[in-house]
Amino acid sequence: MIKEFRFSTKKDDVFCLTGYVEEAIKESQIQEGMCMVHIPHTTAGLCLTSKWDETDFGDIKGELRRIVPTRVDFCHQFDTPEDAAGHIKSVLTGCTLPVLIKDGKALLGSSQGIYFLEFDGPRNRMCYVKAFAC
Amino acid sequence: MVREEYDNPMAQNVRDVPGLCVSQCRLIEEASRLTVSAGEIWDLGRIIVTGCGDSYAAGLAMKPAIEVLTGLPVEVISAVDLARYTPSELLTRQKGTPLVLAVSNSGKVARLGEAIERAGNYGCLTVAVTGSRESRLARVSKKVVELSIPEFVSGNGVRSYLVSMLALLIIAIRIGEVKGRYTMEASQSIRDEICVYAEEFRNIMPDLDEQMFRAAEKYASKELFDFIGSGGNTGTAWFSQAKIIEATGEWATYSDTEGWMHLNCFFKHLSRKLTVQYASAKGPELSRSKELMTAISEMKMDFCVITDSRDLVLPEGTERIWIPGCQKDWMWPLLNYLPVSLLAGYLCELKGEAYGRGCRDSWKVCGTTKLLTESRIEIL
Repeated sequence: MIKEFRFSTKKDDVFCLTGYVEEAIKESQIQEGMCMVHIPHTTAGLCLTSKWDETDFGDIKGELRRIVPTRVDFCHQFDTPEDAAGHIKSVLTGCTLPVLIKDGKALLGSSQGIYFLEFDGPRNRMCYVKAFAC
Repeated sequence: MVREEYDNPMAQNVRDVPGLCVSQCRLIEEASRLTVSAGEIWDLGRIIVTGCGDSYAAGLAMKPAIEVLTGLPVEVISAVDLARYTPSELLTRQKGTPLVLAVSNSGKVARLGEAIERAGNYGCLTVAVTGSRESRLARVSKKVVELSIPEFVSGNGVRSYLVSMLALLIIAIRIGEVKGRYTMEASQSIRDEICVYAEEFRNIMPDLDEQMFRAAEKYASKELFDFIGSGGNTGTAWFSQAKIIEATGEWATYSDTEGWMHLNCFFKHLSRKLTVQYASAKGPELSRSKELMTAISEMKMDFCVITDSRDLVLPEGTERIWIPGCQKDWMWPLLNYLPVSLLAGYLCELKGEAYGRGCRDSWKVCGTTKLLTESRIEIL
């Protein structure tokens, strides 16, 4: 079963998905395997990063903005410059994230959290989580 | 009297407007979305809306909306002023490029073409909003948003006025979106809200139609019509007086709420006059509108208030014409001109008049479009 989660983000939000992923793994009752997290969006991304200090998020967003500044001369003009920049940031970070399952739990480091990176917002968003035994 | 016996092209046009609004909303969005690039939008310093007649009124009606959505200063300048009077230095780039939006369904009006050519020569980004890509206006403009208004019986511009306003509004929504003032989802919500507003109008149309026919019966002997509205409703008041003049030939005037207390309150022959005020319950000038209602009531003349409020306390004897409102007050002028358009159409029938006096006798000269299209062009 693919578990679906819906949530709302703020502009340029970093939204924690760890709890959703842990819930999906627990419900699957899989002890050892892999879990796939997927977001069906083109102006958002996924990452594993440190959960201890929220100022880290500012650094991540800042560096992504430095690499992909919002410009007015993107080829993609149909939407907004922010949207075009969001598409590129989404490609760089990716929309799918694999997480190993061990002893019925997500195999994360003590500092690691699973995060949704919003490159637009405020938006209503969703993510899918599927656990496999292997 | 039976309303159906006095049906007329203006009323038929009014009934078509809500559906037209919904269909045009999508068409104009598609036609205009890529007209001005993101780079050009980010380079804008201010916006000038220009037009003649009803198109000029469309600019007045949408001015507050364009300001709110784009965050840019907006001026509505008549075509003759822009063509002949606006100093050239004000048309050159100053803290950004001026965007000039020129509205004309036919695109044939000489003065507007002249104004746009001049503004373009001095560096303005000129955009023609017109139904004809082959028109002179389109040819001398740097960009074109082509309108596509389905054929219908001619009704004194009731439908084209809606499309002109809608085009300005949709262009403004796009500018604000590209400037990052709100998300694309928020843009879509605004466009959805336009359609909801139109649907609400469609639902009340039979009752409104009947009410305006009864009003026309009641006020058929009136010879002076005085319309009051501020903000975007200034455009509605302008358009209202225009429809009365075209449809009935009677004297009509307009002013803003403040201006009325300064000037129009001094009209005489009060018993021959109908005063109509636009008062939005969400409008920032409601307190002033109420003061005006009290003053008009004390002057003891026939008085109608067109409002989106059923609760607004009106002075005794005042006729309330209720129409739907909007979450965003600046959207209200998009359709609040419909009651008076109905009134004008029915008054025309009841008075036995012809639109534009049938362009016969003394008015024969007004019947040729040459007066508007074949004027001498001077690019200053």
